[in-house]
Amino acid sequence: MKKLLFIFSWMISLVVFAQSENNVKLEEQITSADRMAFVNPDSALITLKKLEPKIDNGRLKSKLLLAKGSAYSVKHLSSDALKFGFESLNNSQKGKDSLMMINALGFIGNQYYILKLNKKAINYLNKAETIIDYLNDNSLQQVTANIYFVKALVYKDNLDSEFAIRYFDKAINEYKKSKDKSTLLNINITKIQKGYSLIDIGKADEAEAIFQEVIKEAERYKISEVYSYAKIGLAASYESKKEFQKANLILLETEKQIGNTENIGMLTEIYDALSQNYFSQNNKEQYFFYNQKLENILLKNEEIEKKSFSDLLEKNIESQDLEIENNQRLFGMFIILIFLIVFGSLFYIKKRVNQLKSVNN
Amino acid sequence: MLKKVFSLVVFLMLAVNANSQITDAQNLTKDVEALMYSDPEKALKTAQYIVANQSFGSVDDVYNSCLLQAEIYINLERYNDAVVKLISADRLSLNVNNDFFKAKNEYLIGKIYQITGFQKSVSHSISKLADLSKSLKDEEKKVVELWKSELEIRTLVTEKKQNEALALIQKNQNQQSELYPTFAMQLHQIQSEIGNQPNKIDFKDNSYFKFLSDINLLKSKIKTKDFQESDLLVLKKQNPQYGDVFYKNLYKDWSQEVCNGGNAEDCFRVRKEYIKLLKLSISDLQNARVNIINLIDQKEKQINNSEKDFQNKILFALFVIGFLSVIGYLIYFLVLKNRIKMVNSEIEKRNISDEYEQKLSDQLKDFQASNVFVIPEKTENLILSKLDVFEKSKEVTNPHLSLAVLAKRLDTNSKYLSEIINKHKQKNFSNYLNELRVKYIVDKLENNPEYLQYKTSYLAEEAGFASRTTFTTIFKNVTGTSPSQFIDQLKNK
Repeated sequence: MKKLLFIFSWMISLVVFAQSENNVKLEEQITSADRMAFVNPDSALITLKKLEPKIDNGRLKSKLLLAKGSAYSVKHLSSDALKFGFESLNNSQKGKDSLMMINALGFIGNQYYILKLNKKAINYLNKAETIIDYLNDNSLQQVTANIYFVKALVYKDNLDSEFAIRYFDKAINEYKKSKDKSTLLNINITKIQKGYSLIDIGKADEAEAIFQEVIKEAERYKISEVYSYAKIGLAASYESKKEFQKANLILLETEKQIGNTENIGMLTEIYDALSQNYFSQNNKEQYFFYNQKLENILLKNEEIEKKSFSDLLEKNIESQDLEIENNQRLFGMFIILIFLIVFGSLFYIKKRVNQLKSVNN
Repeated sequence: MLKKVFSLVVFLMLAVNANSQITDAQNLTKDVEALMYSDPEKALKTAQYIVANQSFGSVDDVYNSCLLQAEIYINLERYNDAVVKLISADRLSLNVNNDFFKAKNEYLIGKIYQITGFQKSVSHSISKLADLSKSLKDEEKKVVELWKSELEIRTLVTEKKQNEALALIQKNQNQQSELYPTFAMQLHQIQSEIGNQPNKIDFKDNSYFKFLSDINLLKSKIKTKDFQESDLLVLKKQNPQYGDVFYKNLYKDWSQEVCNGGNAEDCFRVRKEYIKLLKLSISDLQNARVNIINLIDQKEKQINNSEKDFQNKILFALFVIGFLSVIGYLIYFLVLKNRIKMVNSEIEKRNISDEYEQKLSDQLKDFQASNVFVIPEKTENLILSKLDVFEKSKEVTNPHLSLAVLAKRLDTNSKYLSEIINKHKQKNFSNYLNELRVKYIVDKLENNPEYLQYKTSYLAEEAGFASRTTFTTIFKNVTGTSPSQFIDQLKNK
């Protein structure tokens, strides 16, 4: 689920605009830094910092600020991510750039959703939606779909799944209209989420159909990650219909498929579903077996998280230390400069004074 | 007078009122400390009251309340809430000067680091505690040392250096402080966790540590197969203030027990509860980690900003000093330059004036040279012949004789006469006349012996001199001897 959200925030800032020729190169650089942020946020931030002075275009500046926000979001520095989101929003408001305002509002809404501040998330997403409705611009399909997607997730968590489905459908419709490269991935992610919501409201058959649809699409276009998630979803729909054996068969098959990739997120879902199914089948041994596997994978995940957060903290401290070091270096340079200027001036004046004195004597 | 008395009364009332408010906040803080183990929820509410009504107490009180809330949340194993409170405390820390509270903040951060797995950062907190304890005195310093020891012990436990941890516990077991009354209990708790055994001491005075001890006891009962579910229900009923998350490990041990031998229903039920608590605990830790990342970022930024401020101040001071030095020296240079310029201009003026004068004098000389009059030769000879006559006459002794008088007598002008005397006699008129007069007297003295009998004053008068002194001086100048000596010489001849 978390991974899906990260894919989503990547989608938000990846919206490409038509630019004047001079800015096309800069926009490409921002976009590539934005993509890099999800792998190496620190180097992405360095690249974006270097690009910043070159930008004199309001729209590009807003986009750069959003890319910065994305990098901080990956670094789990939510306050910084939001800070840049708001800076981008202010910048686009000043430039009366509705398109970037929508993007910034969507980004802020997404950040609030990640922070589980759902009321605030909905507030900003609604603002974005209002502008979208007002503009009625066909080029906004991708960003509109993204906003509907996050709204649907918020409603699924906080209101009810039936209401969420409306927004998942709206998002799917918008994605279908868009010609963006990432549409295929986004549309299937949205369908999976819709499938789970259908299970929540007892429409297991519809959920089964939608998961089957995603599996077929994923097989056709070889989107392995979506394929496995869809299979887990399909198993969940069987579980909902109490077809536990069918569900287990799919889950065990998926476990085998992803076993080598060590995808902990998916394995957790699989073991959770398997132990749940065996519990429903009153199979104590299998339940305990998979429940222990679930426990182990949760603890393993916890250890990995512990390590990755520890590394992240160290990296953050390192980058802050680097900033302090740079400041100190700059400070040293300024001191030297001041000394040079002052002593140079004093020396020059002294020379002139001596000249005056010698001439006078 | 009345006005002054009234002002004084108002001032005293305000002072008493302010003082009573501070006392109230501090009293409430004491209540929080007293309740934090027995009734943590009430303690949290009370601390929140101080935080929410910041004007109620000082910044230190509010800061301490945030720290107390964080400490209570750590005790309740609600780590994310604890970190959120530490973030709030950290935002206030810039206005807090109390190093003891800052040390407490660092201790809690160190504890949170350990719980959430930021093991490398714990040593940073320990060294910070050591730094902060230096400025503290007596009891406060002792407490900070205890916090430091506790973090060191917990670090050893995490690193699975059980024996070293136990040795350090042993070393610190007798340490106690009024400001940290639960230190010994903490150590006992750690000791029982290391040994996986129930506590050997009775925590009658502290319901929290008694509760933890009871859980340990139940866990040991699971091992010895003496565990009854009713014991757990009783414990839960007796301690509703502590969340289910405390029972996580108990459920784990219990689920192992029931799933490996007990009935299926118990296995499902206990295991389900365990996984639920495990997920809750992991989720809480994950949220706490995200917030720690933000807390540390906030702290680092504060350090960065304060360092930047400090650097900017130094740069500004250096710039001002440098600028003033340059300006001062420049002013000195300009003043000096101005003075020298003035002196030079004065000298130049003087030089110009001298030069001008010189020029003028040269011009005058040239002018004079170019304007020398020419006396006709005939006239010149005539005057010379007249002068010869005059030189031999008694006219030379005329006391009223002057250049103009003589010129008139010789039928010429003063210019011509002066020029001819200068040119032919090589002396001016005055010297010429004086010499003629001296010559006249000398002649009289040599040729008329009666003159040898005359007094110098008479001789002076006879020669036409105005006074005897003038006559004597001139006579000596012309002849080389005084008139009296001259007479004596003649007499001796």
